[in-house]
Amino acid sequence: MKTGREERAILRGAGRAELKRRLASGHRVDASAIEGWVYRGTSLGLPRLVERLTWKTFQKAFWRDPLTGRLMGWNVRLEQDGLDAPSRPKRARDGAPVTVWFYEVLETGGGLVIDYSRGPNPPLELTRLVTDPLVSLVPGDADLLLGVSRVGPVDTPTYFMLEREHPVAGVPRALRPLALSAAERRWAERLFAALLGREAMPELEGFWAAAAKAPAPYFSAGLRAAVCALTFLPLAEPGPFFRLSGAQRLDWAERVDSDERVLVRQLVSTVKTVACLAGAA
Amino acid sequence: MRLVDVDGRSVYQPLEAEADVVIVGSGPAGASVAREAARAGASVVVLEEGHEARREEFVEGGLQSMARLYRDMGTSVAFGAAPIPFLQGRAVGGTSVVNGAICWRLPRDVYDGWASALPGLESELPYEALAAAEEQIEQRLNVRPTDPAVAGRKNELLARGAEALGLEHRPIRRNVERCSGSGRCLQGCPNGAKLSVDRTFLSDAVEKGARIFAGVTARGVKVERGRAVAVEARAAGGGRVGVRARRAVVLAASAIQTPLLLRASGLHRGEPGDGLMAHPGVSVTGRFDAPVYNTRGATQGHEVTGLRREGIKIEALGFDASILQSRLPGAGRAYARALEQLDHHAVWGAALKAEARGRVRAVGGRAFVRYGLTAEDVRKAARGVRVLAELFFAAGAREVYPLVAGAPKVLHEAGELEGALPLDARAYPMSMTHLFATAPLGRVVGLDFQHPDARGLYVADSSAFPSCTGVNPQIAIMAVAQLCAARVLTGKRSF
Repeated sequence: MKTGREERAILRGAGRAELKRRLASGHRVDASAIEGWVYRGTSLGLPRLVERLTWKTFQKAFWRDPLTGRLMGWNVRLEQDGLDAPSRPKRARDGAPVTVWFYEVLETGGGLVIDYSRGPNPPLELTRLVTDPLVSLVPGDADLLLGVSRVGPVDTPTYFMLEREHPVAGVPRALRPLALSAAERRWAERLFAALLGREAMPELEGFWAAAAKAPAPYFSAGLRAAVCALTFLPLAEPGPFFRLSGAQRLDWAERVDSDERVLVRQLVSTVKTVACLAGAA
Repeated sequence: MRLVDVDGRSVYQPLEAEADVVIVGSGPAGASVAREAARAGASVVVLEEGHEARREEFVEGGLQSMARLYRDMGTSVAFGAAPIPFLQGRAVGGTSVVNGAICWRLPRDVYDGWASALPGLESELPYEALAAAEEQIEQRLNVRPTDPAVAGRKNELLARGAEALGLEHRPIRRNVERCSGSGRCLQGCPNGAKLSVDRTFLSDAVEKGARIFAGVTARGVKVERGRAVAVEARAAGGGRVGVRARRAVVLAASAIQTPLLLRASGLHRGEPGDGLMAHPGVSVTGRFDAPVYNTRGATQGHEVTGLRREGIKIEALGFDASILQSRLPGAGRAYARALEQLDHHAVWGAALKAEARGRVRAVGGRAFVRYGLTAEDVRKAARGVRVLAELFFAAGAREVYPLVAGAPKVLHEAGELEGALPLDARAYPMSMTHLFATAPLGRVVGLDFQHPDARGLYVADSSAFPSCTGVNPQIAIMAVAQLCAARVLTGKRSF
């Protein structure tokens, strides 16, 4: 049996016919063996000119959405440092890795298939037409995978191999529609401060990092709903929270806390509890 | 002693193992079975989703503790007319790592209720056998009434209030050793004083050769020709884990996870997950003239037992500062003023023996819990709040904050609650501990704890209880699991 290094070398040098043959003789991949992992991808079988114009190396991440149970994923753009250089994601302005081309992984009768039409991609994104069947080269081993991009029933010349790299560390916001956006977090922090009678909250990065990672999926959804309702609805004088100055917010907090409506009391109580946890974090 | 044999965080490749007895869950029930089985010479593998909880890593902050040691960071919620958070530990040792160390034996009246509903229980699971097991367990766990020297003011004040009202009360019996009253049971004892099962029963089991796989999540039980033959699991590192069971598979993963595992294994007989029972709780805050220092002293050191037969059990509560802060009244500047006197506040709670029945199902691969209080449960909640307020005033509190929507925010005497407590579940901020009865004896499993469609598959945790107990169940869970272990090992009763 060949080692992973030997397999990689063979795949890198293989022509399209050989890649097609290997894909056809590949083995089914167990979906649970790839979920939670980031793979390093290498494009195979492309003409040099095309390679120069596109991405030779990239990352593909596989993540099971705890809310829906769907196995989702995304591509990460890498700096093109060379085939054997460590993966270095391109970064957006906010420092987050640049993620593109979201997908769902489907378990079909023929094995796993990456389907870009089922990811949160722009409606006119051409990638939506693409699917990528995936196989493993060794039965029961999902460390090295081979795939091809297909438009409808037609294989494109774009083959790729995926090598297991590291566990998924963060999930792009596009796949977490219920999570609070940066703007909503700022409003949440203003609400926290007002409810706790402070001018401002201390740095809460640690809290938000924990909140994004560990809690039940409905935590973010519930907090988001509570924050939006308290911020934008006209629940207490002198008006909706978002329109108030700092001093007015403290008055507002006292009034909204005295509201007799059960739902409002629940919202205030929930956000106040979270604020206390966040403030002490 | 090194407790964990396999840390799932570093398992990337498929891992196969084999044992006589494979146990899912390392909490009080799983630990009891592991210890009994290992002492009897059986090879044992325990699968635990959480990680080893080392005391040097325990921190005081509520958020960090919950993130490390609680399932879903303590944000699990049961949905009903009012969403109720429920807490479950997730660590080697399960909830025993983060509970209040409160120990109760199964009350005789609760057992009698089970026996009258389940013909055959008295011969299959006699009360005397349970009591004997509880006696042994309490000895190992050093269960003793809270030492007055470490009780702290919040517990002393509850005793004073109960005494003044003529309510039966007592120091809580706890499983601790050399407790210094650090008040951090719920975040994991930093001094190692709490004798949680990772420090006792699991250690005993490992000493006898049991292996613990931490960071490994069971996905299902493999059943072949009507017999449970293996547990299929996934390591935190991504590797698939398969453990073959030569003799038995024991589910002890909690009343939430155990029924889901049965369902994931295709075992639907008796509707596992239906019939969830629990102890929802209400709490009330009181302010005293002199400092109470609620975060100091035994976390939960005193209880009022006089209302137990009404289905209400009152305890002093020892939260970390952030949770205590959330129990102060008011918002804005009023809250900031209250916060200046944080140390003058105490929080006491009433755990309710609720009659409500809920349901657990998997949605999107996760537990989804439905649970709604009955009118009688809400009445109990109102009564609990009323008695808590009376206790605070009897103990000398200056002000009391019931934190119930529709009720006065600040009380200066308990009589102000007269007619003011709504019979509406949504008005009471609650949280829930102690979950039961989702795979009960006589419905999902037989009186021998064994699943009728999968020989060698046993349910050993509080899922198997026919009902809630109305008291803290750790000791009863361990005793029942110990008797279950005898069945696992011999196929027969042990008495």
